[in-house]
Amino acid sequence: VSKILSYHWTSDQEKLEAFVLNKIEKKERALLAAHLEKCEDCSRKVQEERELLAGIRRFGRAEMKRRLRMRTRRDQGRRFEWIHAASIAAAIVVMLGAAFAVRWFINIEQKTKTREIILSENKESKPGERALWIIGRIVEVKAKPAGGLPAEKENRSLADRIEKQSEKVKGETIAQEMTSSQTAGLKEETSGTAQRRADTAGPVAYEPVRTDAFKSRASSQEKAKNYPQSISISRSQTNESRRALSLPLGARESRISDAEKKKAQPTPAAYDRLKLPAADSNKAKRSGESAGLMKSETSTAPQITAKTRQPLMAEEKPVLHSEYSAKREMRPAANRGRSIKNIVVRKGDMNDLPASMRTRDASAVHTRLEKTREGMVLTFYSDIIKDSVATSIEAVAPDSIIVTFSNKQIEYHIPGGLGGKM
Amino acid sequence: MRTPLFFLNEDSKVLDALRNGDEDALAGLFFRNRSAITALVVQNRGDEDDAEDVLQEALVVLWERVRDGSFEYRAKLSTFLYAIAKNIWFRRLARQRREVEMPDEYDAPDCETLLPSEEMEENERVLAVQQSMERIGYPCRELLLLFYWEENSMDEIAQKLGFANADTVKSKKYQCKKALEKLVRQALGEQS
Repeated sequence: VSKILSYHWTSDQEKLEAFVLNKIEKKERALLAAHLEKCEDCSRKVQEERELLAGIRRFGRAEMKRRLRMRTRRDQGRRFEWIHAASIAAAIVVMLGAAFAVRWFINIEQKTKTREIILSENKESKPGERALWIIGRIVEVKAKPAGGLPAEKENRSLADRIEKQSEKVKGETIAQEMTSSQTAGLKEETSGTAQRRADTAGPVAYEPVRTDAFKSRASSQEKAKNYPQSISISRSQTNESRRALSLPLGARESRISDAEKKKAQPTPAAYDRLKLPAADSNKAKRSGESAGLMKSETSTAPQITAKTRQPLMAEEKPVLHSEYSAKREMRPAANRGRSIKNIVVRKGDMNDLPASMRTRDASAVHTRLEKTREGMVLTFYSDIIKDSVATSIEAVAPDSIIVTFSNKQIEYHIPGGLGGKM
Repeated sequence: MRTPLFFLNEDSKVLDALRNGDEDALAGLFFRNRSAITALVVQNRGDEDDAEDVLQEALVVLWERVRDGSFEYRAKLSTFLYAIAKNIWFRRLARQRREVEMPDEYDAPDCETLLPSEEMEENERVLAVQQSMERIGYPCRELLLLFYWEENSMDEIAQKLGFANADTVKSKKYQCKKALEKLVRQALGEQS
């Protein structure tokens, strides 16, 4: 030990570095340290070596810190750029999303306004029935529409015109002069127009229409002046002549011969097409009087106007309109097998309208549509339309109807068409 | 307390990277711990620049510990860095104002155990060595750093710096050391 203690080990560079770097075992380190207490020169060498080590390490730390600062600032810039790019991308995504959302909502709104909202599983649906909600559009009826007067006025004017027509026709026993072929041609021209007008007009009769063929009969016009003023449809009149006088208006059939009655009696299929209530059709069948659209009248007084159909008031009974002619013409072939017999329009209590369907759009009329074998029931909910009775229902397309009230109309698109399934 | 496995895995990856001399791992640790250290420093009379400097210094300490093998994984790296940064910052505060009252959370013993010895910081010769290291050229600077700072063996230095063998490194290190001492003496105005 004394030898080691007297040994100036600091002259050994490796041992000196190992001592400073603390890479010597504890026992040996203690002996070397003990020598340093006795050897001032050795202690100074160790101190110099420690200062060298501390200086190098200090430099190393500063260098490391400098490199780290440079690296972090560079990476920070990259991260900043990345965050910017990500922000811009996110903003673009948000804007695109907002644009799509707006477009989607607009589409939804448009669909809500123009097309039906199918809520087949609505709570209001009764078992066995499928109800759906459609939205009608309110159209203000301010002026005379292009197609004619509003329905109510048109009804009145039609009635007036028909009344005048009946007086006028009293002096015209035109039918007696018309041949079968002529009257048949006239009938073809008059029946469609008159029926359509009468159908849309509601409780009024068909109006005979003077056709060119009719007017061309100058001789007939002249002869007509010589005939009695009161119309008298005799048994000798031909079917054609009676049809020319618009038999659907209820020409009296009591004087018609049995053979003619039988010939003129419509078939059960015709009753179906005419959408007459079953009771009425049976009655008509039994009486064998109806050759036209409606029940025949049995009075002997000559009348041109006649009851075509009984209007059903919504308050008493749902309004019934069988726009059979329009349906027959416009109904798609696929729907012909099954027809809607009735269309019932009735006003519903706004309190019954589900809250989710209440919209700010006043022109949108939420309407519950039920199609059953018995007919189509439209229950509309509107604060604007005060009327509970519809003036008329008009089919304007195979799947569209217009319901007319006193001063407003509602346009409906009927999903599946007037006769189709829901 | 059981350390969550994913933290262990994440920290072990970082430690492996540090052992392999990957300085990018340090940069990653910097960004992950910056907010916490900034909050610490700003709440204790510092600013964001101080926080950045303290964190960089703490990362260097971690680097030294890992590189010389003295680092022991007892807690998450973020916890370790927070403790070192806290000690560095409070030591700085204490140096700036000796009379400053240390916060309750200040842990003086940790400061001594975690931080490198600074008893020679004010030593003129130490500063002269630091300045001389900036003037000494390649490969002496790298060689001396690898040997004295990172405490690599001669073989490792030979491999890293492309020397033939450990003896060559030993010889070169002797030359570099003499050159550095000469620069230090010049810096101190001493004449050999």
